[in-house]
Amino acid sequence: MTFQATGDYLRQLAMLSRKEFLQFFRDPVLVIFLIYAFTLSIIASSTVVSTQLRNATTVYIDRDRTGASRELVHRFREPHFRVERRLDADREAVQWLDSGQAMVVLDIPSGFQEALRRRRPTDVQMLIDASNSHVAFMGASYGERILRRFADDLDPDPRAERAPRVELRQRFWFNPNLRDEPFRALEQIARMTLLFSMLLPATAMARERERGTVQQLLVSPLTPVQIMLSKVLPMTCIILGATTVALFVVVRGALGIALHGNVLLYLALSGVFAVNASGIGLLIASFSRNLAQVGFLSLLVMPPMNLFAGTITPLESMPLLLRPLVLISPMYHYLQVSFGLLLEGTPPRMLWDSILAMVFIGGGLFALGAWRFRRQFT
Amino acid sequence: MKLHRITTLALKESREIVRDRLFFTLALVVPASLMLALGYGLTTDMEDVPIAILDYDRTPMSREYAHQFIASHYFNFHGYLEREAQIDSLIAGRRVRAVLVIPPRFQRDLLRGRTVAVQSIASGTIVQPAETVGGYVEGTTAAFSQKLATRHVARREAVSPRAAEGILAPVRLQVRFFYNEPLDSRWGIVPGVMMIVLMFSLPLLTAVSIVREKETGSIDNVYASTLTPAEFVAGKLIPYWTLAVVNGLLLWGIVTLLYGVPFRGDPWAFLASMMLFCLCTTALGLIVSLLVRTQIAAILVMIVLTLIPAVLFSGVFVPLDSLGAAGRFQSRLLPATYFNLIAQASFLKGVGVETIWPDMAMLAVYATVLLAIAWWRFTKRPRR
Repeated sequence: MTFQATGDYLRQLAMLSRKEFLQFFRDPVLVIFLIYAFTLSIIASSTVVSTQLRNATTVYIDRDRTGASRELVHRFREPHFRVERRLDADREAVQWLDSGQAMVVLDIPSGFQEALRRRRPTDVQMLIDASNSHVAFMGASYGERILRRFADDLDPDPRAERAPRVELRQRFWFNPNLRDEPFRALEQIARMTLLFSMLLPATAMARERERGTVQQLLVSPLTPVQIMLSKVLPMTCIILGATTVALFVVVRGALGIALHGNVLLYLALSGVFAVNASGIGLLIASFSRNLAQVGFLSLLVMPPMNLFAGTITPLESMPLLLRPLVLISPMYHYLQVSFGLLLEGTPPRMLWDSILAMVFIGGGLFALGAWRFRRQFT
Repeated sequence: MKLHRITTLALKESREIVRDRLFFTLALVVPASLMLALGYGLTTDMEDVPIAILDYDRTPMSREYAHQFIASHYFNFHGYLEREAQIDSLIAGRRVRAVLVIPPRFQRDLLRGRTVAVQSIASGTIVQPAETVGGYVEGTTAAFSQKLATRHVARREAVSPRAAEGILAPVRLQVRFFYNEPLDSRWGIVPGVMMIVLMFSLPLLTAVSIVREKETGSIDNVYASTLTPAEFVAGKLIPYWTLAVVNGLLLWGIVTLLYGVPFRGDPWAFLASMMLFCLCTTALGLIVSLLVRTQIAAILVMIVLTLIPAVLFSGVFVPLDSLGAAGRFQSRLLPATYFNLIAQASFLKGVGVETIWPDMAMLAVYATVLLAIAWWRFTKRPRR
């Protein structure tokens, strides 16, 4: 390609891209949603949402009604538990669980204090609604911890003195207090990037097809790749701008999350991810005849990509058959890179596998999309 | 309201769905495939957690402690480490989920009857697995500590192990898990996934179908016709609602037959709730379609309005108690929350109308309000 031809190529691309920019910014609903998606939605999903056991509504049956039993109930408190009230009958306990009003029922036996005084072992029952198994497991775990501490604070039995004990000190690196906000904020950015970058180029393409304007484009001196790029590049620029604002204004500013590593590399990879998502979108568009089909095929792809990104189900817990699918998902690698770079300050050389995966998967998808697109019109 | 006009519109609409072959398969295949994939893969259970151990002590007792982890099916032993410097790359490179550091003089101090602190290091970035692994390590350590102390006291005091246990742990916690006895995360998640799929798939179809008419201009035929707003709303909703209910039945079958989640409640009450829920969601799709002009906007608005809140605020993955006040308020605004409560009650808890009627009533109120809004917002003289 000569210098002149390259210039023309780029000028044509710029003109087409400009048209896409104009079209985007003239749709007020889209612009409002873009702003919402990269500001408020990040704040909402990171500060409000937590899978931790917090304020689990607890009711209790106290058959002892002594200082010891009250002291034990008192220890089931925030942040993990919130004692709602005392129940009188067993039957009530099941009703509270059945109706979902309470998650935990504590049942303290009669003679509790007396048994403690006489050093007779006693059992406290904890009934947990295990519909959500993780929370139930954590509830049991915190309950055990509370009871261990309670027992430690009792008048020690002289016979138990100088018994060997192993104590666990847990340290969580990168996020010592197990805050939900940092990783959820970055995950939400990824989700929104996926949503916009996948849908907008795909729907723009499908709309041109529906209206027949794609024929106009094809008889013009433009190449299919130019047409594709003109859909992808403007959206990627918009997303990159939105991500930058989200990162500095929302994540660091409003949420006060410290960003460690190389922000520029993160932004570059965000661009790669946006292009990856557009590649998937265009591939979908090449299979669809109208917009509704694009919407639905995207919905076949998007929720699994969102939910199988390693944040809800750890990769090693996935069924073996699905693991390869997660490993070819750009979302998974993008999150690995985001968390590694920004939250954990991992040097890029330790993330090379995910970075390479993003580049190759993205390139492959894009090439496939371009090939399908070209084939349709020749 | 004239019945024949409604049926005509409903008939026309259903023909459109059936004739767009891909549209039709998507309407029936997409929800089921999503259900299959998500139900199969979504689990928060953790087994074979990769763990490494840095043993500074290297004595029989420290090895006995390490063995608790090596032999457990919760953990997958990655190997002993040689130096502290290795921890960094293992955790940051996500090769292991946790590293256990056993201090020097572990055995000596224990034999002298002291308390020894063991350290576990895990990445806290993604909170839920970090918590789970922490719980496993804590439980395993507590059990080991208990065993050691029991052995010690039993020997020193010459009592039975049972008596020694009583001396050491005067209060025991007996945990009973209700509704999900095997603690299988799928039991909670799969009915929730059914709700999520119903929440966004068919409403999206409803929304797109009307906006498409707006975009192509064929809605002018409706504006020019004798159809009243109520007839339009009814005629549009009936086919999509039927499709939604059919999908719901299909998903219900997948949940119970394929994924083995028990259904312990009242099937009729659940069916009624599902029909109400589908009415809510398709009506929501209708309202969105009346508010936006382009199909792209319709798809985006529907995703932001239905999919994301259904995942985050309905109580499927995120317990309602854990949501802050703002989140709880938001969750109460969603029909998804009520339907999820009903689903949990019906699948796992085995309770019937007498317990779930408040949630059903909320769905009914919700459906009525949405239908009223749809009727009120539909006008034949839209502003351009």
